[in-house]
Amino acid sequence: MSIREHLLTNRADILSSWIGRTFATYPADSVRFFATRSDRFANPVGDTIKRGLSAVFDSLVAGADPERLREDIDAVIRLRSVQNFSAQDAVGFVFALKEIVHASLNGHAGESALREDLSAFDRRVDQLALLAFDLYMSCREQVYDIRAREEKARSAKLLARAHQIIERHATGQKITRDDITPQVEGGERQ
Amino acid sequence: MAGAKPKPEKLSSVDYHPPSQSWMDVPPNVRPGTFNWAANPANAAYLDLPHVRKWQPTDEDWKLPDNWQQIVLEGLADRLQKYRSLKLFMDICVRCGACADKCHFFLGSGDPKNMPVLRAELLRSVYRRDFTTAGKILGKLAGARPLTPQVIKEWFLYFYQCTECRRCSVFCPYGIDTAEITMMGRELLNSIGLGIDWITTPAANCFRTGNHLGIQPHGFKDSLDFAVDELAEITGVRVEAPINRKGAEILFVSPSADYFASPHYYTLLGYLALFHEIGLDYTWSAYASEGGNFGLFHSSDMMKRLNAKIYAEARRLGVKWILGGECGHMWRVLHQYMDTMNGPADFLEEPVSPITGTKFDHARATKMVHICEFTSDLIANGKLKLEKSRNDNVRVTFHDSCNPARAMGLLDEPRYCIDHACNHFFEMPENTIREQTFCCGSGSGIGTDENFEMRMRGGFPRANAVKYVHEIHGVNMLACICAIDKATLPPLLEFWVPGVEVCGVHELIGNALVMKGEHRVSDLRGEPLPGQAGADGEGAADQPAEKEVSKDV
Repeated sequence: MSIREHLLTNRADILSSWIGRTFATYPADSVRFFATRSDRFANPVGDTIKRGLSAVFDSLVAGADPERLREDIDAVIRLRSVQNFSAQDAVGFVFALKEIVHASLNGHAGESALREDLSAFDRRVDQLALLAFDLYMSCREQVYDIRAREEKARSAKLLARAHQIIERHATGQKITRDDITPQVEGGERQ
Repeated sequence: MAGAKPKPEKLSSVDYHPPSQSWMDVPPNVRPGTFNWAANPANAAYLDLPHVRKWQPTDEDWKLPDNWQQIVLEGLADRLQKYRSLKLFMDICVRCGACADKCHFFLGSGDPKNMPVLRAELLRSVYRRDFTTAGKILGKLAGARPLTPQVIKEWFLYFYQCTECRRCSVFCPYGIDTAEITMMGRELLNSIGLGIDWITTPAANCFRTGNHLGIQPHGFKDSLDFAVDELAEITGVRVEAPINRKGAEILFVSPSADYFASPHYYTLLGYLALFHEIGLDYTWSAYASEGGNFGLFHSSDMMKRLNAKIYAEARRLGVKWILGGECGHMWRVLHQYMDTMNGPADFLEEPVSPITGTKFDHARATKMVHICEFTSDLIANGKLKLEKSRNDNVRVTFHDSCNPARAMGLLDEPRYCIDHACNHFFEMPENTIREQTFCCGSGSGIGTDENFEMRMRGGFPRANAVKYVHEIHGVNMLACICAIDKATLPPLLEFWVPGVEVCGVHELIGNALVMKGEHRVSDLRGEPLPGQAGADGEGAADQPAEKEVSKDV
């Protein structure tokens, strides 16, 4: 039996364990809610994690390319990048999949027929973890980028007018009513 | 784990849950990105607030006044005496858990202290210890705990992780309004000088010049003139924006962000176009130049001080009644407190639309009408010519802003306006709209950039529902009627649902409005106007609006 066949046969159990391990990174009083409430709008975190990890698992088994894996795991990492986690805790749940799969092989992990196959799977999980870390970093950078631009939008119209006046002033021109003639600037929109 | 070698079928039964810990034993975590900076001492002093000092939440020592416990406990005793609701809320909660999973901060963070029941326990535990016999005798066994500096830090963090949106109160079988508990918590914090800057500074500005940014009368006039010029350029129609005009029939009050922030500004253009087209006899006020009232997020006294200017200006200008713009908490203050605080407004008349003759008798007490009520009445009476196809570039969903929706029940009027201004309107799932709407996660004065991570958590349930209609129906525009929403939803959506922008209802009305003598080639944002030659979406005007209510899946 190949690792792929093993993962397909035991999909439900392995996935359920992986999702359980990921939920367990949240406070105990919240885990029951995340794990049991099925309405995707009433339980967006639980739903995002279940849906995201299921997609990632299926893509891993199917040997999907990194771009596909990145899309699958984006929502989960995006979520954890703004929750109460350190960087390693935000992405660390990925590695749990290796442990769970090894354990699920029930002592057969060392068999020569599986060894190479299992190493390849482990490397795929490692790649997934690196992708997750890339995504985590890009989400954090996006947070700071959006924060900076939000400040400008809050006084966009005042800034637009102030810039017009400063420009006139810098060129030694008299400030008149016409200086605040409206102009629609491309950079103003969100 | 590899050594344990469980059978595959046993894996799903492994309990990975961490051991439970009493919430009282979990210390508060002052994590960057999840709290708000302390009030600027100069602005706190301007408002005559007590115990003004320099401190920050990141400091180990918050420099509490010597008798801080006495101040807080006496303050709590005063409020228990003054507000029967608070006394009830402290006593009657049976911890049934109905509210527990209804808070957007809990749903987005998984932090149990964001369950409304537990947020209330932060205060209730202190109440039990000092105001109930069981708590005095049994202490922690009865859910009581002493008031320590750590408790105060916890209050500061969690009472500023509540947007006072009141979604939890919709589900409480006893009608406990956790927002009011948060309000009491914040009042007590402020009594020992623990206010946040994004509430204190706008409040001080508002007290001084009438609006949050401290724009002075000439600046206010400049802003409106700027908008009038811009509208003339877009529509070819030059409108008037009268300011402080005595004897006008109506005083119009909107949030100040409408005239200095984006995308609010396009809603302002919509108001100006609308008022001109119907020939409304109205005026702006350079002092009542702010609908928002950050006093609501500080204390009842501050709310009253800031709100008073609206009636004072209505009296000074001699108007008959007041029309209010697309603002969120202004309507909560208005609907629930204004008449009690600063009424009766017996010098004003019961509002009657000068265009349709409709009597707004529901506004008999406050004499103030919401612009969506006013506009939907105009539409219902056939007073507006609206060309829906001009909004064919947008596929719209509507976010019920917490305060107009839950505090004043304004649910159908904005939808009626959107329905008549757009061809493509889609509802979000029913457990995320109307009375059950999810907050933007940034209301009640905590929409700051330093608190950005917490806002992304709190806004996630809202964004999650927007994402659904974006994926299913191609929604690319989220309409709302609150200035805080317009400021905070764009970054929220940029993070969670790229491709969806935010607009006001009156921006859509302003785009669709056919004005006499107009010449338009662009919409209010300066983008090509759909329905015009060469633009997208022409010929859709006669089609009925698409309208779907998505069910939970």
